[in-house]
Amino acid sequence: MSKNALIKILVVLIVFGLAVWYLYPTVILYGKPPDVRTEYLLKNPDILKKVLNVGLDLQGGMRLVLEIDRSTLDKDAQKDVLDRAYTVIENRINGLGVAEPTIQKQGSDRIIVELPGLRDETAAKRVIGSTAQLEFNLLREPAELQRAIKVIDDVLAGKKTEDATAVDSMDSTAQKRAAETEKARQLFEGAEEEETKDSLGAGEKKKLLSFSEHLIALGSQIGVRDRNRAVIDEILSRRDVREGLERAGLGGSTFLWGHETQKQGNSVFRPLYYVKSRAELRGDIIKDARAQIAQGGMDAGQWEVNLEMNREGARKFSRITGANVGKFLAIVLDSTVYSAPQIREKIPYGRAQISGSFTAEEAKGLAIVLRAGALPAPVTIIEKLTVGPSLGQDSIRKGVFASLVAFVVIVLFMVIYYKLSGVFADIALLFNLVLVMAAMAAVNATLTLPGIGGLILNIGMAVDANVLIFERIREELRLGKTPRSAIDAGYSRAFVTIMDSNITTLITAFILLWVGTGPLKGFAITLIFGIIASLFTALFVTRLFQDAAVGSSARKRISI
Amino acid sequence: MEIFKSVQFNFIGNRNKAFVFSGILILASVVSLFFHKGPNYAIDFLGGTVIQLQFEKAVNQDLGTIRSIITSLGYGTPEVKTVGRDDQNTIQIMVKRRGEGTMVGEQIRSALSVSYSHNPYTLLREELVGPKIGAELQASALIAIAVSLVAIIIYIAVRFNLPFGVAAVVALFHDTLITVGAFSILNYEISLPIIAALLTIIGYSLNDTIVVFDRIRENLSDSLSKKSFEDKCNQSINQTLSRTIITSGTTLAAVVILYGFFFRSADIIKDFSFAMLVGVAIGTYSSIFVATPVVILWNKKWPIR
Repeated sequence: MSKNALIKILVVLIVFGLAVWYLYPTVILYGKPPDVRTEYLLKNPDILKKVLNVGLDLQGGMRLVLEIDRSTLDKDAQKDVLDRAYTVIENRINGLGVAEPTIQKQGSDRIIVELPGLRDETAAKRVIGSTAQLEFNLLREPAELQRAIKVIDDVLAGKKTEDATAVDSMDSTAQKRAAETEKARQLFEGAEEEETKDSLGAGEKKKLLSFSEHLIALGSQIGVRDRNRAVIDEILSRRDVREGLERAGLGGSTFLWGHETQKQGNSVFRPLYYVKSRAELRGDIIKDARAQIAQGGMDAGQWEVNLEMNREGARKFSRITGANVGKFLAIVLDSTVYSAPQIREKIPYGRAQISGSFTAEEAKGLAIVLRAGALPAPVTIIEKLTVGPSLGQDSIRKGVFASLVAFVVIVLFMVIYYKLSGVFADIALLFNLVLVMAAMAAVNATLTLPGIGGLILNIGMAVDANVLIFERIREELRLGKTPRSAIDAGYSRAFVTIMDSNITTLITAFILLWVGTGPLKGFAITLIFGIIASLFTALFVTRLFQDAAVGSSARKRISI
Repeated sequence: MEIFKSVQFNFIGNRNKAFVFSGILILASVVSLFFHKGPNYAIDFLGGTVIQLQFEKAVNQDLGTIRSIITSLGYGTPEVKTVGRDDQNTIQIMVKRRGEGTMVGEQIRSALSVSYSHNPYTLLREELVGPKIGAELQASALIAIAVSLVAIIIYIAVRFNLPFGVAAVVALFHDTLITVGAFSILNYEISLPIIAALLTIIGYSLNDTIVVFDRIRENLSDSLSKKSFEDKCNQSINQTLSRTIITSGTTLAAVVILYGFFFRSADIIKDFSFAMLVGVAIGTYSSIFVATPVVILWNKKWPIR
């Protein structure tokens, strides 16, 4: 055999060897049944970087694209907000217990999260998306609350409102006292008013009635019918209302909704709290958070979250509780009050509980979120994909079957039409598929359903190079050339055509790679690898077989 | 075994008939697009939510009820249809253009849970695309196609000559338009994977066209032959016919098999393989009956070489 041929055989063997080497981890990993696989993964996590990944649409799971809202931040904070958000989300995801999560930054504002095999998507969404700003705010005294209510009522009614800058006269004090009694009366009568309003029909709700008419007494707090929540929000966000409150010296306080609703009669009511705007303590002092079932006290048997603060936090907490015994301290998460217990005594050790009719999942989710810390800025989910596991299995099955059928059909055809040369082309085709899979494993690519489509397409198109060559060889034979020279002429003439046509297809595939997201990238990658592999196998591998079969110029016949 | 041993069809002679045929296809496509006010974009481009649910018992009578439940939530008129085999009891709900945040899917599902407590369902798939991403994808899809076409013109103009480049792009335009038209006529959705299919079709059709052009170039440089330009083109097509039919055949076989396996599922692969089917067929046709005639036309006005 000539030296040339020897070198070629060596090249092919080396390439084949590399392919097997790169595919080996994938075969090992996916050859194991699922439960053995998870165990193996825990012991050897870096094998994940060496295998061909299976995409969400085949495995089931969830994919989220999150976008950070930078508008609330100042310039300095904006610089590293993406990195900080990335770390927080990474920590949260690790708390979810998903086997192979992927988190990626995209551009300057986005984070892509993929959770393959995820079962509980509601928990995941909640955990990942919540801003988790934890704050401790003191509740305002009832007297102040009444003043605020009166101011709002007056603003809505168009009356002139209380002006804190005005001189405090005897009249106004009497006014205030009268107003307070009025308030108390209204609070209790408010419940009756609610009933009449309902009978008037839905249209009434739209009218801006006075603020206090919506309020009812809920235990020691005030509450609002949950249905009217949007109405209240609207009232409170009005500019004249806010200005009125500020003029009355109440600008340092805020209304916050409670997390838990209460049922009274046929309706559901939500508590409304009036708190000091400036928080006494922020969430960054949390050292640890654990979800547990309360052992004793009022909430025994219910799920709660136990907070442990760091040293500085504990110190501050001790000071705050010591100075405010008897007052109520609201635990606020993302501007919602989870609970507002009364401070019975100074709490020196920096421990607190958040309770509130949590389910186990809610408590655990909250604990994860508090442990990982608050997101530096609010985050919106702009794209979400959830695939159930059964759909994934189904797709894999169909995809694999379709590939097999396509492969068999084409193999048979090539043998029938091109005889022995067809067999060579088929071996090259097999080699082609192995190469593509190996290349994908080598770059740790992900096989998606469109990717399987790409593989099947590749099977159909891979024969093209061989067909071009074979047809050319047949032509040369018809012109009367010997098999040896026909083969040579065929390969050299076809080479140019093959290069041109495949390069242009490669161009479109690369553009697709550049433009595509997620599953499409998988498709583009299989296409690109497929083309390169088919170029190699057609020009090299099949050639080798042909040369071997025909040998030197002596042979008179070629099976084609 | 060999078919097309010594064929000599007069492809070029029949090109006027082909022009008419292409003209009809393009007209049908344009009319359909006009009538439907553009392509039927999926949520990938419009934003919205798609949910696939598999119920335990039959629901095909209930589509109207489900539709009105969702409408009462304030999400306009959703598309609700059955997908997959009848015994799978699977439906697909699509709400286009709405669905900021993640509330839509959850609200729909909880509303259905309440109304269908007697017939529980499992979530097969849920996809939400916010409007911003939708608009971005639209832009990038168009850019991708435009850039491809430009890149191709340049490559072919360099490797061959300008008239071949222009002819190739005309053929590609023709193929893309007719494929999109086919989708429009059947009211299939254009989603991101379909754009991928279009780019693949462009690549494939180009592949095909180049094989013919390569032959034409070879025959044109054969100074011994006394044939006319048109005859040489015809001869080129005939010489490459074998290869063209076989490669189209194998690719089509692969695509048909893919389509067949996913025919009854709701997966996007179904539409994707349909696009490939149309594209491969038209792409093969266009290399012979569009690209080459354009070259001939050009040659009549401005002789090549």
